[in-house]
Amino acid sequence: MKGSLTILSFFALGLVIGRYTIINEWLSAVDYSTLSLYLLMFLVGISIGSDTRSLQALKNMTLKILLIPTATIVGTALGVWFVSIFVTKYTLKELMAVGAGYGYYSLSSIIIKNSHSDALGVVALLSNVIREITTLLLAPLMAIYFGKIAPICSGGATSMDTTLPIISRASGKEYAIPSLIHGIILTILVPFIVSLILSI
Amino acid sequence: MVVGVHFISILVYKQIHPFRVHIKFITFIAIIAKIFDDLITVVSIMAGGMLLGFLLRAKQRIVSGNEKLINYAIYLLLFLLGVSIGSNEQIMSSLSTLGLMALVVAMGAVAGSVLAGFLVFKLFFKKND
Repeated sequence: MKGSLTILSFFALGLVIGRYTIINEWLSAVDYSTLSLYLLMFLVGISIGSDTRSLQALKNMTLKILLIPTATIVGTALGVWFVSIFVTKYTLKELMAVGAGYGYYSLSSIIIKNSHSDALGVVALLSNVIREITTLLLAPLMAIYFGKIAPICSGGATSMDTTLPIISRASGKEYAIPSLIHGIILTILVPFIVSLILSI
Repeated sequence: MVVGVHFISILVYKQIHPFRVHIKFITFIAIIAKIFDDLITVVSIMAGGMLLGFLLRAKQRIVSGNEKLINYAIYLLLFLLGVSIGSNEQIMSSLSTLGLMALVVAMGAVAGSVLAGFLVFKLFFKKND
């Protein structure tokens, strides 16, 4: 929660500075956002590779665990499709790309900004932050009313880090490893699914 | 889907006008190449990081330093995103609409995921508890 608030405040700081100064004019000479995206992906790779839990989790992997990320992907797509009925401003494809961030706001918003538009990038950022915060707040209730897998699916890609503690508290320690695997799989898939949807 | 559509269109063009196949085919190859180009860049960067991370996994200082670097990289990215949006008049004037849109998508995504998770739990996991 504190993490996402910090991130939002950096975003807000950027908004204010971009609004009232001409900093953007000298930043736009070089494509800094793509360069920093590649830097971020490289660092995230190091983080996954160096995490001994992720190697251990791979050993415990049974095929059944793959059902959880599948549920998240299918459920998100169906949910977004449902709300898209009430939205006229954006196409189904655009909303699907936003949904396919699975809570991974930093990466998905940049990809969408770079390969689609600034406006949709902002929607992706806000939407995926809201997804993370909702999971942090509602995970205990989800586990009670919708079973122990529900908080994991709701957390999406964040189920490997920011929402992992609350998930393992709400669903029990035995769901920490599935939650981790789920988060890793979705984190790896986010860039592919988002760019695939946008390229169709 | 893109592949399928283009394939069909190539077949159709071939029947109608052999000369145009050429142009259509080049567009098709260009689109596929663009997708793969982006994917390969992203995959190789991430895989390179994973390999390096695996090799350095025993070095605790590097691992925890990396987590800090990720945070800074995210702050930098989000700050740059903010700057580019803040200087865009058109987006600034429609920020509340964008926020509402974000909320709607998030609610759909969470509700859909939770229900799908509920189904998977009921069907495949519950009996083990």
